[in-house]
Amino acid sequence: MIKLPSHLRSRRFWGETAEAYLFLLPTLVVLGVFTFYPFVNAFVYSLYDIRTRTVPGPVVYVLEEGLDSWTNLLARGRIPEDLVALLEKRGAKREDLWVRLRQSARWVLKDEGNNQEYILIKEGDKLIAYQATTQWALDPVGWSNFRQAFRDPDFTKALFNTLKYVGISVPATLFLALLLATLLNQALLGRAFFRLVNFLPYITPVVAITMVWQWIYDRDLGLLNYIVSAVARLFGTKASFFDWLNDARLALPALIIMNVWRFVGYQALILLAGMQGIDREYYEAARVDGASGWQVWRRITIPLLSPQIFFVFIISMIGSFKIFEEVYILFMGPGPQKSALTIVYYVFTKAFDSGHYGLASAASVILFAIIFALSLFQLTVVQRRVHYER
Amino acid sequence: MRRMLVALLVVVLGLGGFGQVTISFWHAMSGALGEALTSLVQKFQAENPDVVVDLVYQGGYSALQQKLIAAVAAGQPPTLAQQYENWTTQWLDALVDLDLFLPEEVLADILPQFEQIFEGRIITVPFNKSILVLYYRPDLIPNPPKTWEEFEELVAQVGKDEAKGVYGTAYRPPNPEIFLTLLHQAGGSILSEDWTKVTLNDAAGLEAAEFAARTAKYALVQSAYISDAVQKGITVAMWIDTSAGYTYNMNAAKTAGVPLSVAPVPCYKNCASMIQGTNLGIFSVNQTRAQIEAAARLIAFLLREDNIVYWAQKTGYLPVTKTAIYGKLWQDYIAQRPEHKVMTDQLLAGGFGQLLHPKYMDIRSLLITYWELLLKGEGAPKKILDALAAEIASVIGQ
Repeated sequence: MIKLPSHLRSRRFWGETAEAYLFLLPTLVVLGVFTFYPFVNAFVYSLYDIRTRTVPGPVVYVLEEGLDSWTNLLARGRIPEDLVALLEKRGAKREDLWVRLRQSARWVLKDEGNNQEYILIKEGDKLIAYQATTQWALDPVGWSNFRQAFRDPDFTKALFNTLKYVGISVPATLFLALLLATLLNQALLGRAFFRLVNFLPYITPVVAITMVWQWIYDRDLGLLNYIVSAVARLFGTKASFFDWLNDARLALPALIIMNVWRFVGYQALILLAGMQGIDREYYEAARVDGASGWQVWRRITIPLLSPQIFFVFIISMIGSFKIFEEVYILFMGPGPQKSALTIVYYVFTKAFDSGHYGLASAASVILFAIIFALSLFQLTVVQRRVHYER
Repeated sequence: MRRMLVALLVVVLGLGGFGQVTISFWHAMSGALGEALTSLVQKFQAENPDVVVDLVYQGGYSALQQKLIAAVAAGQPPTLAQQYENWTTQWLDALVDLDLFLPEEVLADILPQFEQIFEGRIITVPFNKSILVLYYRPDLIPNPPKTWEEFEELVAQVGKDEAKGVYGTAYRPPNPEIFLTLLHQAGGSILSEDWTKVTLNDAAGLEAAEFAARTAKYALVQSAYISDAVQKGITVAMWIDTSAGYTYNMNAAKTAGVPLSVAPVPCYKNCASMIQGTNLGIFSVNQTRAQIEAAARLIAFLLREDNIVYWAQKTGYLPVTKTAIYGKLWQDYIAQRPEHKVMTDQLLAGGFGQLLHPKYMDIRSLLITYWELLLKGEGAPKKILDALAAEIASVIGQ
């Protein structure tokens, strides 16, 4: 007989475990329905060609006699008597039967009472009645959706744009956040106020922020161009107009600037909390040894802050790969010449503008694979360089 | 006591709703357009007390399209919805054949310019239809251009000065319908008549593309509506835009304190102008026959002369039936309103609609991509057209 470890044998252990799972249940249900189920489905759908249509199911009847007159009647939305009689045998009521739609040599007959649909198809000289089963048509296509994605110039553009966005905005935000946190860590007047101000962009809804930046970036009335022209006037030169939202070269930078601004305060706050958790003794020891401010920052603050830096880096990288709302609102489209088309935006338009669900799912699986691989790399290789204070 | 009152209320409400059929109607009409639609639906309900219309504003066109795609996929579409032709091609199976439910005379009354046959079926009817016209500043352009040549000359005369905010004309990349109008005027088309070949990059297409590229040098090119720029005080001497933008453009000009007028689009080999705007279709999925019949009654009501004319007057859309457009109500109205007469004449002279190809959704998104390249001078027109044609060929070949 297998002997369980002592803690697994106690009643209290199982009672507490059950209680814990009970508390977890609501979260698990919500996550299950809205996260895990769609997540798994995206994998499945990426291997299918998915369309919505009424699909013929099992054959119900084969009608052979008087086909011409039947097709004529059906074409006018009337149901031939013979067919009514046949369906009545299956429990249908005459007044519940009607032709729902027709398409070339194909009709859909509805039995409203039994909530049943039949597809009538003319094949040769026979009229075959199928039971209509589903509105989803899933044809397995193997990896063809993935191949199609990589062949689609829009997808490669989206991939490239997203990588560029992540590659610039994540390090830039982190660097500025580090500087900001260092500043906020000094004893300066009104420190609490500045901390609040820096956190505000993060708690403001992204839609509101993007609308404001839309104005800031406006070619004619925008704040940014106003400042540019004012500075130009100061130096007596002619101002050039930056068309942030309509120039393909400026759209992605505009997106990056906005989001760096949006996240820098939040990241600074996390880093600041980390800085304040560093034992003062290290700094005092360094001062006794005559270390300069830069040396203290470089040799003590940064290494001891590495867990927080690492956390912020991973979280912001994953978040940046998923950028979508800002593009959708700022450019009301994928940006000039699709210069701000990102992977999630591509997924969204493929699914909800053109109904290519399989292709959209494949693109989202590719995005998942990229994020997964990069996170794995960071958790294994990069994390080795992180100092955890003992 | 309170419980009894509640029970009584439930009974009364239940009786009140007895025998009524409820239909849902999804639309994308905001502002004054939404108000006009609401009042038409209220009038319908007063005339048809057995029908309750659940009128749902879904946001802009793209939001409506996205919601419809999801709703059809989930098998829960509304009874009735506004839809563009290229959306309709994605859910042909989910729509009712309207000739089964609408009286023949209603369908026969629709103007041929708006006729829509999808794979031999009539599944939508035109509703809010507009046409491209020329908006111009009479203070800068006293005589609006009648030909491409005059247009190009005037545009160059006004020129382009970004610092001062002055432009000869304006184009929007998301609006490739202007290119299609030029293409038709040059005698070209996207596809051959049997849809087997791409003809967009032949001689006629090149003429249209080169004309657009030449005039785009003096144009304000932006994704936002041109009225946004006008409102900010930017000077655009003239631009081609939909008649549905009439109220928006006029209000923008008023805000900026500048005059604005409407003329027909300049012509080349013919005076074609593209029709835009949506149609109405009834979904059959998850609907009872009573709901479909009620929706068909609402369509027939909306296509009645008095209602069409009311709708057109309130919105700047065009009457869609012969009875309405040639009828006394509309003719008297446009006799007083020269701008609406221009729009009406433009429609009758050269209105043409969307290509009803099942892949038009994808074709249009390619048109947008390459129209933008053309407007921004990213390559020679010939090269851009050839690349576009190759991509369209691969889309229709799939």
